[in-house]
Amino acid sequence: MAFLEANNIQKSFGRIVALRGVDLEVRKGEIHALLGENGAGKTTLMNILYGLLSPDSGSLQLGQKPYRPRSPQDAMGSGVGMVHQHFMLVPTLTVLQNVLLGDSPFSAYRKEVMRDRLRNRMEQLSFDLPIESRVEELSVGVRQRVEIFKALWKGAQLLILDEPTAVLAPQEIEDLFGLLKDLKSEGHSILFISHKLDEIQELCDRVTLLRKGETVGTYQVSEVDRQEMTQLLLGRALSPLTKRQRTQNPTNPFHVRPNPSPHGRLKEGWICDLYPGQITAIAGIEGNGQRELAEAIVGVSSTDSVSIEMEGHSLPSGSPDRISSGVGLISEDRQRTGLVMDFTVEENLALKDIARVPWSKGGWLQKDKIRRTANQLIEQYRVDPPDASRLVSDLSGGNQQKVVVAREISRNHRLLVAFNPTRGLDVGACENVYDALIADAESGAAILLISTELEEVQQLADRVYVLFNGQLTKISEDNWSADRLGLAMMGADTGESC
Amino acid sequence: MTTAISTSPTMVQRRVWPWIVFLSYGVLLSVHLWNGFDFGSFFQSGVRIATPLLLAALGELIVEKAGLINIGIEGIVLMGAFGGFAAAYQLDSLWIGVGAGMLAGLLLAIMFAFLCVTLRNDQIVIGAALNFLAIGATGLLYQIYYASSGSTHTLEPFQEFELPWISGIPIIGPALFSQTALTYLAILITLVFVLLNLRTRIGFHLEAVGEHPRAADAAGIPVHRVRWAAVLIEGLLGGLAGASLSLASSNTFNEEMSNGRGYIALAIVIFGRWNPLGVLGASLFFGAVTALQLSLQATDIDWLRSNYPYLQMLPYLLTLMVLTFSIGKARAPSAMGKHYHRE
Repeated sequence: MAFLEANNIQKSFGRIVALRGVDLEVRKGEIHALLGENGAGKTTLMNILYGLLSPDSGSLQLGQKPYRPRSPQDAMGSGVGMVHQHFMLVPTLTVLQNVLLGDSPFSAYRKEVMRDRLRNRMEQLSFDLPIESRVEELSVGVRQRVEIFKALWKGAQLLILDEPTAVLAPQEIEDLFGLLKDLKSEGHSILFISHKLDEIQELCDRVTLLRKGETVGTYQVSEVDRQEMTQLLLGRALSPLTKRQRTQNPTNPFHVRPNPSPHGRLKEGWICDLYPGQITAIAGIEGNGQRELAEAIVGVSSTDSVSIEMEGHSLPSGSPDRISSGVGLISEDRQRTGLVMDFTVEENLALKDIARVPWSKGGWLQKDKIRRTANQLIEQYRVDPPDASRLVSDLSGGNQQKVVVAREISRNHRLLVAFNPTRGLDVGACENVYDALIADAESGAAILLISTELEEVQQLADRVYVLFNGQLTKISEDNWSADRLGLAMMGADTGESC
Repeated sequence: MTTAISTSPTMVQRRVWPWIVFLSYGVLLSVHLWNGFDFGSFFQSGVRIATPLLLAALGELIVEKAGLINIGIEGIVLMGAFGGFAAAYQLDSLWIGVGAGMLAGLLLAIMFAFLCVTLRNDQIVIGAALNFLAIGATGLLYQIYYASSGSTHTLEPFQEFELPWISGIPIIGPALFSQTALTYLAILITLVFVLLNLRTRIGFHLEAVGEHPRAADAAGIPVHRVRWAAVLIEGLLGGLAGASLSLASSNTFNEEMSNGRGYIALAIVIFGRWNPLGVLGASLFFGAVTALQLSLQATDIDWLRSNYPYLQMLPYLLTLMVLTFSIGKARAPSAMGKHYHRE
């Protein structure tokens, strides 16, 4: 029985058409996946279902009744709850306060009553949350459970989860899946948005594919395999990863070692060797010092610093010198640290070397040269739309990331840090990034891939480390299975110190 | 599930604080009795000077809690001082003056709220512009109606009201229980703030709006309405602070009489770590320092008397030092100074 039905939903922003006619049907008690490339319209559809946007045309039905939410409160009132990728929790308030936030009659007097009710409901749903702890003290996995519980508390029958596994460790993902399956068996419907095909196959009953604002179709997950799904999603088959010759006996590594720093996240006493021509991967759960390490390597971290040495010479420390000595960074957070959102594509491509020949001469920008180089890169990396003069902020997330990758790889560099380079990218865009990284390694650069995606690490790496709580551990090749890596990421001692 | 509640440090603090207060009182009292130094009147003037600072800082506190920053508090205080004086002088009633001062502050606050909350202009630029507007407007009106006549215009200000019996306690009595009605009002408002902050949903709503407006919005809290309300309250409190300047701390209005108190209030909020009791403590601290420099000016040390501008610098110097050293320790509301709009 259909719980939520969307028919021929259309939505455009100015001249840009986001949804051309989307159909979606989520049944009661099923986990339904929504899959689509970056820019296919998933976010827009989600925002319509959650009352943040209203569709231009088309009809929505919830439990056989017309459904037209005007605000998130409306949606919640009708039984549609949403767990955002960036949690909607106030970090300085406790779990209890967050769950009750916005429920009108809440006072110290009623607190005891509400707490008991909350406890009962939690028991009923077999949630175990520290309700008196402040949210900022909790791990990401627990925060997500708080979000889910909050939605259920407010009466959600349909839960929309926006890429919920992106921030979780493998074991936490298993816990989440267990929880979602329980909810399903209790009759809740779940709309699960993800790029990860294996997750969809493990968890979901049916999948709806979106391509360029249109529904491609809805399928039983058990009836389509991964290749078919990819083909439907991209409109073409995914070419297999280029197999490459591993450099045997690589020489002259960069030795990266953390410097002592009082407020640093990185612990002292380890060395990480990055060999030219190889991809070295650092796996780990978010928040164990990855960001600090990536920023320290390019010399922009405010808390940590690392020294980098090669053949007895050390690279200069501090950002401008470090970067101009040939160290590049592909950041996970392209909108914050990778790109200037109000610049055009070509300006962003030229950003880091704009003061140098050939981009400028004697202080004057060489516009022609910039345009020509930009167009070459746009073609090579298939940036869509292929227009150098367009603002980066108009591009979809995947295409923005292509701009960052294109810039960093085309720059003169010896060492490249790729920090969650495929975060938020669809399979097609991931493929592009992987190919580019492999090609770059083959041309002699040392690449450090810092990633929370195990599959990515397993596929690409020549050597693997795990970062846990600021401490780096080397993982030998026979321990590269997902289970072993996952354990090491949770802090179990399975590697050798380095 | 780990419920790591870090109660131990605060528990220790709670046990230690009464002792510290008790001991320092003992020390002061013995100096007072042995040496004859009049701590009573020193603290009395400290608390009096702290009153407008406290009121203005409470106003700024609520605005910053809601995720805004209004440096126009300086102008609000000035408007309050003029509005309070003019109304009290014309209508010959101090309490009408107080009301008018609050309304004058409210006027500037409405402009801020409209420009920065509704129209989402830059808060710093608007705040600075409102300060200049206040200086210009109060200066002009003062010139037209009062200064041009040549004579000085003074009124009978609020008098100290000695609470029976408890005002006789040495040191504490004059400091806390022999003050004007406006000081008692300020302390009362502080206590109301403490209760609101800890015990009511108003406190949580403010916190949510200032820390994570999107989450607040998703929870059904009207972000813009909460911010508007916070700014209006700041207007009333800032105006009251101004009125206490012209109606209690002195007996007349001078041009630019706020004299940086609004800016000090901004520092007090930081020093007080966005907490009403912290703000109370910080205000009293600044009041005491100012009282100290005033009493140093009155000593018989010639150098100090002839170089009194150095002493006058003291509170401002201290502001700078406090801001320098409290960086990193205090945590401002995450969304402070940022606009909020739905996607």
